[in-house]
Amino acid sequence: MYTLDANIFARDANPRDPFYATCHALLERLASTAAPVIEPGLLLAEVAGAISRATRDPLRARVYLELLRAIPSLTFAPSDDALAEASAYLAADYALRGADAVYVATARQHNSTLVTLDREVRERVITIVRVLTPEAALAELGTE
Amino acid sequence: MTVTFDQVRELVDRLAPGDRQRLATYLAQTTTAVRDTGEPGEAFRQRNLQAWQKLLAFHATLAADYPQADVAAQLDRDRQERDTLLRRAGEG
Repeated sequence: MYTLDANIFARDANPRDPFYATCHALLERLASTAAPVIEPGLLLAEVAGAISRATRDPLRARVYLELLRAIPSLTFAPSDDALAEASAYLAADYALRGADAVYVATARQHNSTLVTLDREVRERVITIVRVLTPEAALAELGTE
Repeated sequence: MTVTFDQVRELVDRLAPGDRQRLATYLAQTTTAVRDTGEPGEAFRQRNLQAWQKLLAFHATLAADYPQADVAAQLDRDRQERDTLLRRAGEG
């Protein structure tokens, strides 16, 4: 099971992004393998907000939410007190930014592998959660 | 080695409450397709693939319709701004 940082989804919407090819290949591979993905509910707000603010097109952002929610192998972890508390302690103990801590806590609670481009996050949490770069996750999932 | 249901149940009974909760969550997530739809594996894979493809097509359309919009950069800025605001609030 994988937990992807929101930026992996966002980078797939920009073919000029230096990480586009890797992120796109990873999402395609997750699609073809139906590997389970679990995300914090925060992902929805983060990406929808970024789409709406970057394009000034709130309708697109709404459509995006529905597309994300419609993926059967992608589930959203409940944003409950346990997740909030775990995120807060992780943010404090590992000097993580708030949003990053929520992704780490989700991966940890569900024994999932965190996939992120952020090297600082990977280095800080490697002892408490399994963490991979998108390239490494892609290699793990294999090629078609 | 084949593991029986009874063996698994015995192990589950020994788990700490927190780990038992994690196991329940994991099983619920990994069996959602079967429980909710009763779909055979291939039907689930096809429906799943189509849903992912719609998402990826949306990304491509977004990039084509808004070539100047950089959603990833916007996301980074949003996170950075929020973090800065929270830090300032904490210092104040």
